[in-house]
Amino acid sequence: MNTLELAGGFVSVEVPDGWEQVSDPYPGIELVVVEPEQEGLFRANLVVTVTEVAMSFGDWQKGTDVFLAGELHDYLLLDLERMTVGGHPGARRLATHATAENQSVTVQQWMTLLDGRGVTLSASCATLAFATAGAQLEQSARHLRIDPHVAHPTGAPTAGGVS
Amino acid sequence: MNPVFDPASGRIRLDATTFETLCREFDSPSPPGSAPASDVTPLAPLRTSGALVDGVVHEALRPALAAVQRPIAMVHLVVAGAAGRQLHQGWLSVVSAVLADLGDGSYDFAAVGTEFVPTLVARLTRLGLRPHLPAGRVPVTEAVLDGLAAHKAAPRAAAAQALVSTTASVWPAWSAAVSAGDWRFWVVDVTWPERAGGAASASSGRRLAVLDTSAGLLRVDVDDSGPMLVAVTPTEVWRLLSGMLPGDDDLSPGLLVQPDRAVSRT
Repeated sequence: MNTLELAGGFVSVEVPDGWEQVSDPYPGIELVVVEPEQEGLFRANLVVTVTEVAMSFGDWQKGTDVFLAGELHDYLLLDLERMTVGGHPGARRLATHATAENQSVTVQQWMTLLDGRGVTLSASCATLAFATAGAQLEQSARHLRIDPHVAHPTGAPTAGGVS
Repeated sequence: MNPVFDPASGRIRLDATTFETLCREFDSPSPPGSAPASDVTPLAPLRTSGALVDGVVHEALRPALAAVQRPIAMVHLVVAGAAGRQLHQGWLSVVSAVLADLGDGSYDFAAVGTEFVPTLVARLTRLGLRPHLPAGRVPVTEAVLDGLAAHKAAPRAAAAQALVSTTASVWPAWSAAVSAGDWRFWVVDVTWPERAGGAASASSGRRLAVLDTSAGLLRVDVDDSGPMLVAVTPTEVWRLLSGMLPGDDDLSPGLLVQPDRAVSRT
């Protein structure tokens, strides 16, 4: 595993060795890493977002549920629980959906809200690989750290790299 | 009932007899002229629905019927509750097929991408958000488990009542839900031929049995002392479901399951 610091050190996360970092993520997306290509199979990936959130954690997540159900095809929410995320109160969501290429994907999301900044770590893999790959992806969630003393996220990784 | 066929989706709603006729026509089409085009032959409902065109099965149905004809593995899913019992069947192949029991004597038959089979099971069992029960293990007898999945309502109710007393001290809210008739017992079996070297008729497989209420989920675990009820989360159930299908290490090269396409009423 390789540790990356994101958003000016606000967030640090571990990613599997050898995964490819996508170089041009959208605004608010701090990191996208994908597993190596395997014969056209869905590539497991980790996505970290840090966004400004001007509402309560509960309202933020209710909105997220509505958004995901509306945007993702064949979406099925399977589990949702309150838990500590990155050392702070948060929640975990488990869902499955179909991609535009009609692949079945299972996604776990860990999210927390700190001083108006919402942090989400999403880990996706092929559904039939979830029994094995899911555990590896959960390692990243276990090692997610959020430093409340970092006031001004810059959006750029400050250390490390994905080999 | 008259079958209802949607050529756009390849989905057909039909009864058990018509399903078996459809499979037979796919395997061995009736020779031209052997079946009069009247409305009293077994083929007439299929013709009327558009599933049979000029004696040939509609192309939208062929991927699913090919899976029934030559499956790599079989799926049987029993979903029982206070109100009834359904048996869904699936045939796994490159493209798989499912025959979903609608509970009124009719079935939905359609192709499904094999990687979506866990999703389909989750939808048929209504797997979703549930409270997470505290950890615990409670013994349960085979007789109670058999009773929960029985065809008749009386043994299902008696078995549920037996659960109420044995689980009340460990999971009181769960026990109360069962007492109120708010329970569902589902068992999914995925089976495939044993790898080469075993007996010709031997099969391997995986089973997952879950007791579901609005108060939480329990899984049936079998250890040296017999079956036990174990608290489980929807995530853990999904992890088990997603790992149930056979992988390359499970299957013998070129070995297919013997066709078993009759609608099971057991």
